[in-house]
Amino acid sequence: MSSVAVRTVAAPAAGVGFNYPPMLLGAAVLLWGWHTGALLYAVPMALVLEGARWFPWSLALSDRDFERLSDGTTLLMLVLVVYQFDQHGVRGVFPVLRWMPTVVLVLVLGQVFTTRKNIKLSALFLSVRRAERRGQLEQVPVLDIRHPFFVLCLVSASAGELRSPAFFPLLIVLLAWAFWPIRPRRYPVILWLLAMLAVGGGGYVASKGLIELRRAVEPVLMEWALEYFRHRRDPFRSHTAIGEIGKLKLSDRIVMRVRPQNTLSHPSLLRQASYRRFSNNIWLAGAAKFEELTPEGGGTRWILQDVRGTPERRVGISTYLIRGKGILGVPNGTHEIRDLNVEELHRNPLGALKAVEGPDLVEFTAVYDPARSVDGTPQEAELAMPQEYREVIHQVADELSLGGLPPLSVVQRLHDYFIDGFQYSLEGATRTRLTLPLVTFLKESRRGHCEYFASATVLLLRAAGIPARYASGYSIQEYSEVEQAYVVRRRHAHSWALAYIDGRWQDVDTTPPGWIELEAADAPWWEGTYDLLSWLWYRFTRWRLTDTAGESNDWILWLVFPLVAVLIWRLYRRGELTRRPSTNRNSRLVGRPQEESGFQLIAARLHAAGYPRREGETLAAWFNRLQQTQGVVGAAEVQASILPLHYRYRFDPAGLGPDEFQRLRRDVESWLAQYPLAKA
Amino acid sequence: MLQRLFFKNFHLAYRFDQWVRQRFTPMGMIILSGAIASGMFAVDTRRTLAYQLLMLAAVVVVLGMVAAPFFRARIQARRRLPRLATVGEGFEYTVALTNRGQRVEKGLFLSEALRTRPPTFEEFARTELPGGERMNWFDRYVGYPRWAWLMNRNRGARVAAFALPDLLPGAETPVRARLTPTRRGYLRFAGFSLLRPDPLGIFNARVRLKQAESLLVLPKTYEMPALSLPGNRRYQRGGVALASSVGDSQEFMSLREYRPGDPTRHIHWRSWARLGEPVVKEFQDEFFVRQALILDTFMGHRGSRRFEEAVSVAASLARNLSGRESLVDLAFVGDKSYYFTAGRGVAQTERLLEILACVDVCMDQSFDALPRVVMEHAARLSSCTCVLLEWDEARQRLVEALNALGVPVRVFVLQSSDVNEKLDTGPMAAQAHRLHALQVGQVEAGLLAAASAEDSTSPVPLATQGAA
Repeated sequence: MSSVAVRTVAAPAAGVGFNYPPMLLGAAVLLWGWHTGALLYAVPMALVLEGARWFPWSLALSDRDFERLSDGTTLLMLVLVVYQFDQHGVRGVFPVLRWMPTVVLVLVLGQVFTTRKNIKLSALFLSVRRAERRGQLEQVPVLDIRHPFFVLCLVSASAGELRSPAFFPLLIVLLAWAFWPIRPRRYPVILWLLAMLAVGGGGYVASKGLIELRRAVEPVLMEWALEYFRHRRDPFRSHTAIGEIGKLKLSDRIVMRVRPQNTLSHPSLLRQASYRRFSNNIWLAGAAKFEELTPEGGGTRWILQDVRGTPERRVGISTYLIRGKGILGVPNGTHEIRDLNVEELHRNPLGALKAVEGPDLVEFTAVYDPARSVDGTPQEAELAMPQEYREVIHQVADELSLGGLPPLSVVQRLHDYFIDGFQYSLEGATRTRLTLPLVTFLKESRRGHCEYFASATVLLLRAAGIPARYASGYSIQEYSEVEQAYVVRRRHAHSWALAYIDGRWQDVDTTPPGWIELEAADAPWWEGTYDLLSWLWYRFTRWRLTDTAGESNDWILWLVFPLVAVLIWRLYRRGELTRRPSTNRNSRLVGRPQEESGFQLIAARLHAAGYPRREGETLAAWFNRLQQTQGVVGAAEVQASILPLHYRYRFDPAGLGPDEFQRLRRDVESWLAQYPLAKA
Repeated sequence: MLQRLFFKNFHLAYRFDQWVRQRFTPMGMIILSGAIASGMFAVDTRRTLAYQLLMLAAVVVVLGMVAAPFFRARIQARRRLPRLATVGEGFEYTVALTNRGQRVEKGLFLSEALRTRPPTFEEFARTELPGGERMNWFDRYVGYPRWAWLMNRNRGARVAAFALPDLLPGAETPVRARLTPTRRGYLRFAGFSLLRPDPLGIFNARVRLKQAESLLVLPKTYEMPALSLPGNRRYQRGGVALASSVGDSQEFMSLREYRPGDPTRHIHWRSWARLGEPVVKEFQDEFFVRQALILDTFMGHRGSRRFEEAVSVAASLARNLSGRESLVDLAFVGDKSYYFTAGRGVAQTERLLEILACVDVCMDQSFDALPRVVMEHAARLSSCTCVLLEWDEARQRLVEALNALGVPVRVFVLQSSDVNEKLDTGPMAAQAHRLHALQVGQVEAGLLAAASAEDSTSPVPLATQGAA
């Protein structure tokens, strides 16, 4: 490792060698400290930063040393990020931002305590480092690290929790402080002052305007984004796709995860809402007002119906809420909801459950008894028949001889009727005449999606004198080995009928069973990857919403060690690749200004002796001319030994080793001593 | 197809990048970066006050841009360039600025506007970035680093805006500008960009001053000791030397000091008596030993460092071999031959360097096109120095043919920096000391080693030379 040499140099005169406005950086650090509550750190930081201009010593840091400082800063940043995310979850980005100036300070001190005015970007960025090693850069860009540090202090300060009204005017003061030394001489001072006033006034107006804009736009954007990405059940109406032409296709997005808890079997249907009236291809709930339920057991347990002594089946359900609201999908016969972390739960007489003021993801347990019904008793609407369908429904009912049959036999006959004589299809009906779509379904096409089957079944049940409702929700069919749970996708959305038989509402699903396979056949080839990402997002959301008060997810800290180990291995592996004998980058002197090689002294002496270099003449051509044409003594020696070394020093990417550089300096001194060269 | 789509957007991205770099001052770039950094956190105005910083920065930038269109300056500029420049060697030149306006112009900056031709898709696809094989797959596929490298190469020089002194009305003010060519060939100057920062010093208003001009940039050359010349002892005489008559013979040119190996019948006895040391008569055809230089330009892609180093080696040899003892009067560059019949010394060398400055890779023909051209001029060859890109069968056949003609040959083969194989001598087995492998990145050291190797194995003592 190259040693860091410390040498005593004369302290530069104030303002000489430092073109940064005095005290500006210290002021920015103090602003950061004040606004973030880190004044205890900010004061010594500011003192050290500004005190560098009076410090009599300086460090001789090489490019390699800056690379190591940069890598060390990266490691510190990594530790800070992991720690803050562990403590605060995704909101840890703000504490990271607030503390970043302390991490970057090391790099800044590395520059202010050297004589360098800037740092090569290859020391800071891996991509530039690699491009430099590949020889793709004619000139490596450099950066005065104080500039981005100044910006970082201001941005970090803005993330402070103080939110003081003095922050804005102080920002303007700092900006004016930074602008004043670089103001163009072309303009009078009054114009500059007016411009700064305009900046302050305009900035204030723009800030206020931005806040108002956010207030106006945010709700609209949220509504649009969440509507687009999330499915939402309306408990008051269900717009069916009955009658639509074209292929019905819902997405493969996973919307729920189901885990049976105390039974090997699982419910096949999760109901979200049910409806009574059918009109214009729309099912309506009618007068079904939601009423708030009172929670028990710490506010996470909701009793829908007090039942005792019945066999209890439990199933765990995870589902997303939209802006904290959503309709829950539960099995038929659910009488209790446990571990539901929402502020309010409402229920309507048709059994829909609406959660209010909850997190983005809720996980609850539904306790149900398939032999029990907790929904209300049937009303007159559940026997009503839409006028437009009366004739055809009764005709079909007569064909099936439903009249007079026991209710269970009616259900069985309808099952057989639809499964034997109908086909499931995602394609919409092709209407050749002005007929009602349900009529076309029953009499002509005999194919359609689940909404057709459910609607027709409800109406036929009613024609048979059995109260019936239209239900919508999801079908549980797919088990995921990765997630160890049943996954419910949006394309598993389903509709079926509810029949009131033997004093309880029972599921009647007459959709031919092959519909799941038909839907799955349309799944895209990337579904596996998509599911994995969905699972990762689900796990992340769970972790994010886990209550971390008083505890931390310590497991994430264990990520630090392998990550740091990988980073260190990569850093030093790269170090191994660069440690070639011929390119010892620790001590290559490359591309320095030619003054440092001493060659300009030889040029100056020749110029003074009357042998100037011509305009546009290269050094090689110059010395060739001096030697061959003008016979200048000493020109041959320069050409043979000094000039090649000087060229390599200036232009060779590999540069000169320290020995060669010393030899160059010695040769120059020897030449100067040997050839005084009187004026020609 | 995706690559073409990316390619179409590169120019837009590049122009935007250049526009930002030129129009924003260093402080402006700081403000811009502050705006971007604060913008990431400004969206949620409830969490941070970064939106205040963003708005301040945005207002500063907007004020600067609003002031830009009002810049008017009646200034003419004229540059005085040198005749030639060399790659990698910065030079200064004068720009004369004349203020035709009525008031003093202060605080202005001037920048050269170099005409930069964007590469075609075919050029882009057939260029390999130096070190590109070590890039990650994304950069290799998208190709923007390759595009940026091509644009920088096409631009040809590093230029930076510099501050102008106060320009008095009606006066001509000369300023010194500095430029460093980064590639050989012609630099095309379109004119100048005159820049004026806004009152806050953030954004530059710009006025373009047209002055089109070209400058030829010669290839980089390496310093190397004089090489021992194969065929040095071969004198090619066009006429009969009249040993007894000085000044009568048309071929007799001048006298010079005796060198070991000179025929004694050329000794000018009268001058020896007067000077006390042997002096010989120097004949016109005797003096110059004709050197042919062959540069291999046959390569499948552009952008190769190996090719550029080959050109530099050829240029170095052109200078090195042209001296008092010899002359490169025949050059084969690609599939073309160049015969220099008039002039000698610096002018002829410069002519050859100008040719080398503009040489490009020959991608459409194979190496077999070159031997045909060389053999057409076989009668003129006295010795030949070859700078080759490969040492394959085709190239070895050319060298073999030259050997069969009795032409002394020296061969330099350029190898990539990661190749360090010893060359199979092949047709150079009998004179292996004249077969040299030069590695990219260590060419100068290789040339020095080659000179040492030839010096130590030359059977003929070196003639006294003017050079060291």
